[in-house]
Amino acid sequence: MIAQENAAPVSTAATGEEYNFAYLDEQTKRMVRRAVLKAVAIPGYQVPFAGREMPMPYGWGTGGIQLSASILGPDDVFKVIDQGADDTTNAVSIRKFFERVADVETTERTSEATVIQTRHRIPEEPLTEEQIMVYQVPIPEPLRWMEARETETRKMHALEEYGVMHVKLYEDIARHGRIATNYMYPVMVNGRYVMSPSPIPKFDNPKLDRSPALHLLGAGREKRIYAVPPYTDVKSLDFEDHPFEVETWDECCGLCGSETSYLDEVILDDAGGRMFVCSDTDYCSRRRESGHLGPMAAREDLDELKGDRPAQEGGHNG
Amino acid sequence: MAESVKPLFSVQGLTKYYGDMIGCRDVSFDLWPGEVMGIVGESGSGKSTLLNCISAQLEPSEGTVSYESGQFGNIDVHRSEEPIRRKLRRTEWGIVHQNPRDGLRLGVSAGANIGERLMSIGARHYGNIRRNALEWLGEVEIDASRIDHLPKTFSGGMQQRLQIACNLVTEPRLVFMDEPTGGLDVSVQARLLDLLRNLVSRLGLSVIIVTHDLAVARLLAHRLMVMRRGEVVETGLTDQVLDDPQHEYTQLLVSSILQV
Amino acid sequence: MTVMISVKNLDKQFILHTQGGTQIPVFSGLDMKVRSGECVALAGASGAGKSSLICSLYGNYKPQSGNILVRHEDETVDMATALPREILDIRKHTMGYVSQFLRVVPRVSALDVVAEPLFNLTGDAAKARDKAAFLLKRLNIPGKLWDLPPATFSGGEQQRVNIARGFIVDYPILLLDEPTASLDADNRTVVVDLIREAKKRGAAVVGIFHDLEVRDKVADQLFDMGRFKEAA
Repeated sequence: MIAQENAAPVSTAATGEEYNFAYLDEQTKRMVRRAVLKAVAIPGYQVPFAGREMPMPYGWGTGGIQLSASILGPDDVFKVIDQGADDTTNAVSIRKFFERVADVETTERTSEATVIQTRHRIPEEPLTEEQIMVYQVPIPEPLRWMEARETETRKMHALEEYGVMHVKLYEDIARHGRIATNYMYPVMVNGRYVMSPSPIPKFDNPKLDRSPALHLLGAGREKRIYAVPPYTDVKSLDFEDHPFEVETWDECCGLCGSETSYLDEVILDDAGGRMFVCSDTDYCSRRRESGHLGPMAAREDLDELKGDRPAQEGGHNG
Repeated sequence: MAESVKPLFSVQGLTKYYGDMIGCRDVSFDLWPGEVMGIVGESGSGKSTLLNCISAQLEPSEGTVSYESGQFGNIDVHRSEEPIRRKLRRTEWGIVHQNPRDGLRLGVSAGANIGERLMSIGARHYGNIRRNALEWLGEVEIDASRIDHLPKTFSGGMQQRLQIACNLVTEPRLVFMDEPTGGLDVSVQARLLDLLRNLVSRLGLSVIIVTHDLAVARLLAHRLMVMRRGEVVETGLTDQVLDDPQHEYTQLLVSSILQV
Repeated sequence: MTVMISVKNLDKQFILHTQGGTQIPVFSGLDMKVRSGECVALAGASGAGKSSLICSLYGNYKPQSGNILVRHEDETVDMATALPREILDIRKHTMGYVSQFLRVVPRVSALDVVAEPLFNLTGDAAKARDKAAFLLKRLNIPGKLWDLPPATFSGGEQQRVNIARGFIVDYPILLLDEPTASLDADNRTVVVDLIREAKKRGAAVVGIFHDLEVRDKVADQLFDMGRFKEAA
């Protein structure tokens, strides 16, 4: 992580072009780090920062990338996941970006990584105090759905006027009989600020609660940074008579047989054939390596799924 | 008369300038628990400016507004902290806007609109919130089957009744109403007035209602304040002001009503 | 008997600002006392200010000067200077008024129009409705009309609803402005009985009665308005 200042430009072997270490200039990194410190000091509070133009469009993870660029040190091991997978276009290009501009070691293994940049998932493998999660956030303001005015939402946060958050949950139950919000499910951080946990599935919300790792969330377009420091209470909003629940599946992972991980549905053919597999590809392959096999693990036509899953479209990231 | 009872709401020397223009000037009055006061006058007479100032939606240029709060004791409304004013507006006060769209969230259901005030003061039991919402829909004569419908599918009269339910669900002590029957058909108005009259008397609400419609004022208000060009020209018991108006302007207003 | 109303040196005039400030004097220097159990009938030609006096007593008109002292729950209150909420309290507990015309409230049934003053006083809706039904029946309003708003009733029916409303509370003071104007003989008799019963329980009554037969049956004294009109 931030082990030292890296004022000297590094030369990338591939092209010979010169970039400052981790692309951003040192002044910008300091500014981002100050915002990070403030965010850590006030868990869940959205700290404005002077976000820079990055060499990619908004929506491709510019918030998360500026955070990673500001906290990465030469000794860090960097992992990027998109939709739980390490091998999708967006994950690959961000990983390659930092390989090139920071020359850091990268990995697909959760346990080996010190900084993990993500958009949609928190890894299944429990995080440790040695790790930092960096989230690419599209819409940082959880109150935006009810209140369009920024001046008003700031005031609502300041005065803890959070009744409207439950209006949305009420609407869910009225319409669907249960809380149907599955992503960006709002949480109360440290008993004070209501926070949007980025577009992770609500399945991952409990992983934030009292997590040993530091979680940093960055929104590039909206220029906001917020954080969940280690061992902080993170409670998902709910009603007394409709308590928060995570998604469950009737099936287990077709490849590794896991009954506890977040599963993606995969369509296999035009005849309606389908299966469920772990969304966390690293977790799934570790399990298979250690001998756990699911009901479809033996099928040779699924090799692509087991190892080199087809790259999904990137884009629309914070 | 029990003289130990204090005014619920007291306005002293309230003045609002818009630059050189006078919004309202040197207005003073006391409102007692359970009293309904009408503020009447033609458009531009300063009624709405006064209402916005005393309901803390607008900062007056001069004067004080004090309120005997159940939670905070006697407070100087405009010198109190903003969180207190906002809390009052969600709990002890109600504000019924002329245009229901200003007081409702059109993008969420009728039930959620009623429930919001409850949730904003900490209600976290869906079943109870829903029961409360149904009860209040009944109070304002909206069919229970409409609870999950969006207010934008409601008629103007229904929207206004919904807005009233949204305000009354937390059992406020003081309700500000700005032309609550404006823009409604006559028959729809009659129903709304009857409803308001019953709710106000049954719940013992204190109300300050702005209206240009003297028939509305007669039906709802105990006493009237007549305004012209930002100033109060006459006050008194409603039927006295309307049946035996003293001031030239009040006489003009009363004589201008079309008789049916 | 206790003096319930004591009017002292009362002046009333109308100033019509919309007609160039025309002044219309009504009465001046008016003194009057009404005691418990007594009925005072106001006498005088049309325009003598009888209705204006009744309206002034009720706080509906605002006299220019003078006092209207009313006994209200062991206190004396001056209606001429009382605050609106004090007047409303007097009207709720002490002073009933039967006007010539019923002021109709949309959507409210005849039964509830009658029951309202008693309900407001006691909060007991069932008892208020029972008594309202009793009075409507006594005044010969057919039961099928009770649940309808009186807006569509005939003039006589509306007047009887108005009378029932005025008599539902046992007010210590009753003001009656031509209560029998549009009633037939049978109903006039009922009203005469109601007034006599009120007097018997101690009510002080001030009334305007065009019907001399009714007036003679209920009034204890005539109060001539003419002299105060001349003074004005």
